Amino acid sequence: MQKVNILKIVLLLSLLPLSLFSLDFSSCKHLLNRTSLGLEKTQLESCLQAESYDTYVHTLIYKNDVNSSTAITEFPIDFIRPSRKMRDLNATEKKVFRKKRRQSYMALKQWWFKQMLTTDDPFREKMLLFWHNHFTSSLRKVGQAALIYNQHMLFRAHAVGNFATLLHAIVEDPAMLIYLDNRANRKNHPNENLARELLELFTLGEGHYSENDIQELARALTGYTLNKKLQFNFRKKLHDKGKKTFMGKTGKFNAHDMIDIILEQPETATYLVEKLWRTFIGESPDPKEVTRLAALFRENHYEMKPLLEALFTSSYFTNSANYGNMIKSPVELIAGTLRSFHYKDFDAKLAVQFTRRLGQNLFDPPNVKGWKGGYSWVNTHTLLIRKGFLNRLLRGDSMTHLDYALFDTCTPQISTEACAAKVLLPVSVFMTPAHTFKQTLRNILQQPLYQLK
Amino acid sequence: MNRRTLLKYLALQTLTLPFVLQAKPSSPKMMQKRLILIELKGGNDGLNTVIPYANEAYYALRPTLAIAKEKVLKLNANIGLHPSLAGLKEIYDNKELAIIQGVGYPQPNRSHFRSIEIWDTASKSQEYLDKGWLNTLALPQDKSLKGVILGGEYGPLSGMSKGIINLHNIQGFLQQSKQVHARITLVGDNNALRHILDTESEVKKGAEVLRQVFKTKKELPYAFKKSNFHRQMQTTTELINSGVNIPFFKVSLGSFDTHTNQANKHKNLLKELSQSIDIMRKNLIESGEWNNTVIMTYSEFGRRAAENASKGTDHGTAAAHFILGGNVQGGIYGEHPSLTDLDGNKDLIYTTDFRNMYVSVADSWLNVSSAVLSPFTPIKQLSFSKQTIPTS
Repeated sequence: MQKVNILKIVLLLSLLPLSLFSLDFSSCKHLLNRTSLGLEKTQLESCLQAESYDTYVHTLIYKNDVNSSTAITEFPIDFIRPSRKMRDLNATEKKVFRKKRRQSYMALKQWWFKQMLTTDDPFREKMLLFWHNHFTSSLRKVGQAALIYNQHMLFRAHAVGNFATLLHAIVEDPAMLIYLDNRANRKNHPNENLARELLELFTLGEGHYSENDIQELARALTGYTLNKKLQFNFRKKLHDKGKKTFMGKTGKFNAHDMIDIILEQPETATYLVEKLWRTFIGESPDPKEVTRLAALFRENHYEMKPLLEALFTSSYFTNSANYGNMIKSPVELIAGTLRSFHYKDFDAKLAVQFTRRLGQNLFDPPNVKGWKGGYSWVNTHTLLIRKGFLNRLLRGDSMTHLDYALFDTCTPQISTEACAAKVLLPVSVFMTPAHTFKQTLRNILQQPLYQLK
Repeated sequence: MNRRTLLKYLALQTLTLPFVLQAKPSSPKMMQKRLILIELKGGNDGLNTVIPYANEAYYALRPTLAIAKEKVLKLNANIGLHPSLAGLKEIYDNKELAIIQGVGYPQPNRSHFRSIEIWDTASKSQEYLDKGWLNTLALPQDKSLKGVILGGEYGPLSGMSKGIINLHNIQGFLQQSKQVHARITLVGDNNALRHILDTESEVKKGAEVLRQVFKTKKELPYAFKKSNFHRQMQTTTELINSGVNIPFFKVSLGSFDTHTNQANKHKNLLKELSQSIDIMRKNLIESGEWNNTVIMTYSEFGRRAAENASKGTDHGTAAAHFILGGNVQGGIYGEHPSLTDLDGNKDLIYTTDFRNMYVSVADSWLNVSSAVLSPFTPIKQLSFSKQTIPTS
């Protein structure tokens, strides 16, 4: 059997000064591990220098409030359409058209990845990943990168805005209307796809509505469609103006009336809070704390900022027993690692291919429920690809791009090796340095704990 | 972080232990019964798969989507297969394909995610279970390799933490597994860390077993085509032919969620299904493994009896499914659901519970106790030893 390099992890306990465990450092690290992408020197330092944990959480959520999307470069793209009707194209023309479309998809994925890699506000990108996984749409189905881009920009504008506003906007979002077949939803010929998912996945959650509610909501959504320029268009003629009974209320409701009724249901806030909990805190939401947060969410009329602030300062979030007990998503692993090493010019195409192979194909979630996440990110297949990516970074040519500035943030100063382990792993462990720095880094990145956040 | 928390996470020392070989490669001729599960993801339209072509009501329900009578691959005077299923038709003619009609369950749920959970865990409609149904059978509790997931979720195998691996390509898996050095570490109550460590240990164990039999790459006599699903079926075939005893395989095809313009999408999906099964069967006949193999399809639901206004179909309930293999007594089982007596949602009313299908496979094929599935009984007359011939 191959002689295996034995990693020695030694308990810190008495070996290192107690100040290393200053609450600030570990709580900053935990907060950033969960709400950011990797750790960055400037970010870690500003957290460490903050007046208190709560002040930093506040800054994190409220900073760049107005203009954070100005840092974003635009994604220049027009609609990609065949020169004539698809069925009139010959085989070569079809091939050329499909290739052009495929390239536009890849370009959009790379564009987002580059934003995540270079932004000063990675928390916003985390919220964008959340909304993308909540109000899912996919390039594969929608077929126009430009529409998915517009939807993404809608999320960007409302990333930490108001959930109710976003919900009202999403039923008029062209990509969503295509993705969930609402163009086919017409008076007397309902297609209930959007109605069903709106109740099951976007708001109330399974079990809090009836099949009849779905059918009535589908009727209310008739006529919400697109014009030939693929812009939202409400076509009165296709809309069912008739009386509908929805969640115990009767009236000539349109979709927005029904969304207001949905927002009156307490289950909507509960459902959102549970989903945020699973994104930021862990697998099993505490019912009592969820109730408290959901009530706060409703009192604040579905404003995201107060909710997020309450979530990140909740004792369930800050509890040190929960450090490192979530699995990094593929994007967190890849963009996060690259950010931690300040490797900003990493080949975005390669990065996007890695996230796809790891099961998180940006703008192409597997189905309307989005990525399952959690433990399902790691199986024998994906774990090997994860480790392969990390090893690849430490190859000669790639390694020259790595920056180690982050590893001198430890106070009091400790060796770069020890600080690297302390910063990169979600739970503070001390690892015996190997013969070379490269080997030490490899030991840290190949540590099972590195897969966690 | 306090000292107690730290202690939970850390080991004083990590060490590696040689993994004991559990599943010894054995002669391919040995009797090793296996089950291949094909998930038709998204909800397959049963009515356009196994077609009641003699029933006028079918044509009334499907004005644009109905398959013309003359195109249906007829099985008897009432039903036939979609024209894309020529491969399956041939297997049917060989009496190795059992068609189970009207498979579903009471109080059907029409959510993809909830309904597949019901199928995966063999639960009642209102019951929430967390283990995959194969994991509830009385399987031997050793550490051997029990299942390989080639595509999709763990589904029926979920909750079985030991002996399940997920791989896409055997050579890639063996190559990459060299970078995993499974360690023994204290994990306390950090379940995420435990999951990573368990996965590392499954990689090591799986690679040890497979490395013995995959020293060189062997070409299959019948080549698969190039697609994700064909790749899954090909790897499954390679694993079976290697002689490693693995009882369960799971592959996944789809999306079958055809709300709009169904005809073409459905045709292509069924063609992929039928062609790849046909190629797999030829390869397994050649290696002498077909008689030890049973393939079963499943899906979260069928689709609504009537087509919608978008030349597609919405989420429905019951659908036909396939059980096939060298030892399967082919035929048509169960009753076809009525096309006129529909439920309140205008959906088909199921005639065979999906758990009857599970019990059949567990009891009659795998010979393991399916007590947890009681009171469900095997499908009447469906035999896995080719002794009785159903009169249908």
